[in-house]
Amino acid sequence: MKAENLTHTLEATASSVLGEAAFAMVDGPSDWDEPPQLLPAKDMIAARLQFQGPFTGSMFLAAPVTLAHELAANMLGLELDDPEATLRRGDAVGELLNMICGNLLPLIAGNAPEFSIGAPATVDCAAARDMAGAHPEDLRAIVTLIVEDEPVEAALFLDDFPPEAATLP
Amino acid sequence: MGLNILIVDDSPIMRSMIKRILNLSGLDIGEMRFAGNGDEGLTVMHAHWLDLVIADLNMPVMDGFEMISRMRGDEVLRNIPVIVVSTEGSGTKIEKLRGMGVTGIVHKPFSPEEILKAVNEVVYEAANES
Repeated sequence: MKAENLTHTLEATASSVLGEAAFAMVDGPSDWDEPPQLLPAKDMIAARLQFQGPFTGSMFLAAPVTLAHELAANMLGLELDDPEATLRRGDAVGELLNMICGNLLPLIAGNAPEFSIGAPATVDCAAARDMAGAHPEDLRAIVTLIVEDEPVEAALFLDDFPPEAATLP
Repeated sequence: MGLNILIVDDSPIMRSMIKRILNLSGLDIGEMRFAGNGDEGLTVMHAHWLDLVIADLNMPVMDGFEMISRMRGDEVLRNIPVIVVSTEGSGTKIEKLRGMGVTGIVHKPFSPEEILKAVNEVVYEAANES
């Protein structure tokens, strides 16, 4: 599978999930004039999960704290000043990541293989970004999306990815 | 009398989303109860009368498959209808669920209409069987 196809599939899946589950307006790279500037890690809420199956790996999703709050409010149908939106913003990022992963893996490997997807955990965004730098060989796709005018990062890491496992070209 | 529903999901936001959809649905809802995994779900099922279980598959401690399997092996719980709400798209797992008698399968992300359609179908089906 070509890396650009994987990146495009991740972008399309993340955009679709963020739009459908959190009613968010999403712009991908094809909509930009220039790449968005990433925010400092301290201003982000990040989640990571691991999966196992025909191939193993992990995924990472990070959203600015303000956007995570808005996503949680949208998912729950709450006003922005509702304290439950504050309480649930980390969980919102984790659940969106879970949905992105669950929808992405069949697009990569087809519907037949079974994957076991672990529970998403909130992680330090700086550490997650460092992982991408420390293991470039495992980082198979990374995208930045503009969601409600704020940058969201999504990445896919594959530990052992046999080309024959892919159904995408 | 309203439907007594148990929502089993390890994600608090997902439990809240489903609860909100059901509350706004116009369905006659009785008690709504919640559990964070299959093991907690079974405990709630043994303690309360339930008309419907809405469950995730991927959960810590005890996943949805194990929970449904134990329900089907339990004389008291075996006939409670189950709707699975999951990101799982694997054909093998869907087949396995069908084999366990699960007819309501909703894929995440879902619309409120998809949840309500599944609830109406599963509850109607169960009423016809009894």
